[in-house]
Amino acid sequence: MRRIALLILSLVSCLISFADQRGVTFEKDGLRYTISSEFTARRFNMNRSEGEQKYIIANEGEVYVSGVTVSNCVVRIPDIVYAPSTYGRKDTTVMAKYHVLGIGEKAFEGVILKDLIIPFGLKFIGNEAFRNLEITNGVLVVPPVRKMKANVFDGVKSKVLFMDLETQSKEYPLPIVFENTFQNKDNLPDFYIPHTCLNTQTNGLDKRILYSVGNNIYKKWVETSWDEIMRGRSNYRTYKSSSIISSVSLSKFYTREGEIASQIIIKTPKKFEKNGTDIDMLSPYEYECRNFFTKKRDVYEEVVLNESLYRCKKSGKYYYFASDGKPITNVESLMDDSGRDPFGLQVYSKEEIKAKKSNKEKENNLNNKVNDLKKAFGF
Amino acid sequence: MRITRIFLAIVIAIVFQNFSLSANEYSIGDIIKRDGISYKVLVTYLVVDSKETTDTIQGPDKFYCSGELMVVDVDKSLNDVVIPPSVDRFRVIGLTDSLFYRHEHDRIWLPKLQFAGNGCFAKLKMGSGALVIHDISNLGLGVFDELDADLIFDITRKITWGNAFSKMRADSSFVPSVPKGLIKTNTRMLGFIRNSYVYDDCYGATADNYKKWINKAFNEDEKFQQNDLVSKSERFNKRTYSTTPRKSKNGFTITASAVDVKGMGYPWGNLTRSYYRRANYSVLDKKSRKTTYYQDFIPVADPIQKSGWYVKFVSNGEEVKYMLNGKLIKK
Repeated sequence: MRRIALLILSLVSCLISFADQRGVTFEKDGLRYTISSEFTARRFNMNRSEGEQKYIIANEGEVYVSGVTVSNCVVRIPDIVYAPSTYGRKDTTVMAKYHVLGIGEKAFEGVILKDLIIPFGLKFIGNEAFRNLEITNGVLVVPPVRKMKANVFDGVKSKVLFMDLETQSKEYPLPIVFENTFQNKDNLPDFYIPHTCLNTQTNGLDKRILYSVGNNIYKKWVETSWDEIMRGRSNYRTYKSSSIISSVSLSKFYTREGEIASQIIIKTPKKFEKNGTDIDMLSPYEYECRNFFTKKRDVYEEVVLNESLYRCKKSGKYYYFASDGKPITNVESLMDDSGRDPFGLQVYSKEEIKAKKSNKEKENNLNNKVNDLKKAFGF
Repeated sequence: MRITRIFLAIVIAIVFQNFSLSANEYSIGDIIKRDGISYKVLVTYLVVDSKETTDTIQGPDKFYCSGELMVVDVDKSLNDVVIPPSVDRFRVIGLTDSLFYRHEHDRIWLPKLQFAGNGCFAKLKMGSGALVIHDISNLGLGVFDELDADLIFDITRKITWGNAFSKMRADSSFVPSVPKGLIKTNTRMLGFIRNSYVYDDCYGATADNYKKWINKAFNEDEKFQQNDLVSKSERFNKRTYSTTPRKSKNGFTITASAVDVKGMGYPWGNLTRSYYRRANYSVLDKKSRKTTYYQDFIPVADPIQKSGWYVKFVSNGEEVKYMLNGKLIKK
């Protein structure tokens, strides 16, 4: 019975830690975001006044837009949004940097906006995301998005301009994946693409439903509504040649400066999961850890860092390492009185700690008694 | 007796020649008025009925006068304007300068044309909201200046744009001159306008979306769009004929056509009112495979000839006569 209770408790603690990362919602600048993943990273930070190299432990992650709280105004979806986070922190809150990766299901359903500015390089737009959306400026400009799900534009009350029909991944163009995006044909708006996209090969899109527009019309529409975004990006070709890849997918972070530092690379799986909900579309990261101390390469489900150690999760188990990669075997020494590790994770329950404390006390008492006996007998 | 026979033959020849000339219904410069539209005859040339063959053409009476017309006036009071592809045996090939200038019509149906003169559709107002242009090979200056409607290019081949989308100021400098409405075309035909000024300013559509545009321009009237069927039923359009059967190694193959008189000049260089064309007959000698070009071709009835008639060509005022088998008739 006791073992089962312990198992349930550990499972609950796992779920809590999972919920910390994924599914939490917050609001900022008229938009509602849902966190889909979160991690800590060691980032290089040059102190210009002192001329010294410094590293900071930063919280980063990914969010998707799950709703809007304003109307009749210009809404701009940023590339990056900052919000307070407690992930991997013990009793402290830091501002975490979240990359906006997509637009969730029915996020803009039935909203009336003056304009909606969508950033480049989004990974997905969820089912019926723009259902019955009305843009009073007249044109909804949609930059290339990796994947568009079912009936995204159902009932949109303005023209829809696709800036391109392919995204750029590294140096290779990737066609946008349309998954039943135009399935409901009764209530579709007029779709426009630039003449230059007419020969782009697409999946799941019948190009006969599209209108094409010349460069002057394209620029006029884009510049009207995208004044901010297009500033300094007057030539779209320049934009295309630059990288649109999510900055997270290839990022590296190091546990310690110097040659022997362990190296951890964040890897996102290449394919989207085909589950119904948006949160599952953003599949969890893989963390590839190259440990120079053990001379091993491992893939973990989660990695959290601070200045002196890092914690990795694999198959539900947590492993602790010093910053140079040396495994920490005496995990109990890292825990505080309440059973939490330096990252705030509840590793041991109170009962476990009580039991361990009592065991320790018993052991101490036993040791004390043995020592007393040794002294008494003159050893 | 012999002198009488020769005299009779000459009389009959003159009668036949006059008969063949009487087939010329119109001559160059004539104005034809039909259904509120006036046409000017630009050029005439001889054609044969498409049903006729070498065996049935046994004299000059089987040749008919055909030619090309330019539309010079359209009645302002017309609600729907239908410019047919041909009037009788004459093809409509162009529209004169300022033809629709400041006009107001509900719908206009145009055939495939060779040219539209300067300011042809300038300030035209369309009740249906769109003007559909089928193939027009050449466009003049400021053709669509302030056209008060959408402009749909329903084209199937390349257009020479010239200065169609610019107009001249008093100081001879050019300024852009575009329609007030949208410029639309079939997406599949975008390649034909890629190098034009309008490429960056036009909308493209295919399939149903394109059909929607066209239907709207003609007020959803399917019948109105079928005006080009008239030209398909035209019988007198065979411009190539042979003086001997097709397999015969002797004789001529004569093809009637028309060319611009001023060398490579185009109508929009000057006003189209002073524009005229000249008949051009390309004559292929079947035996030598040599082609010669003549300005005029006259089939002449002559009972002395074995065939009963011969052909006469005129080039720069000089006449040459040939028998049907290609042999030269010496003077």
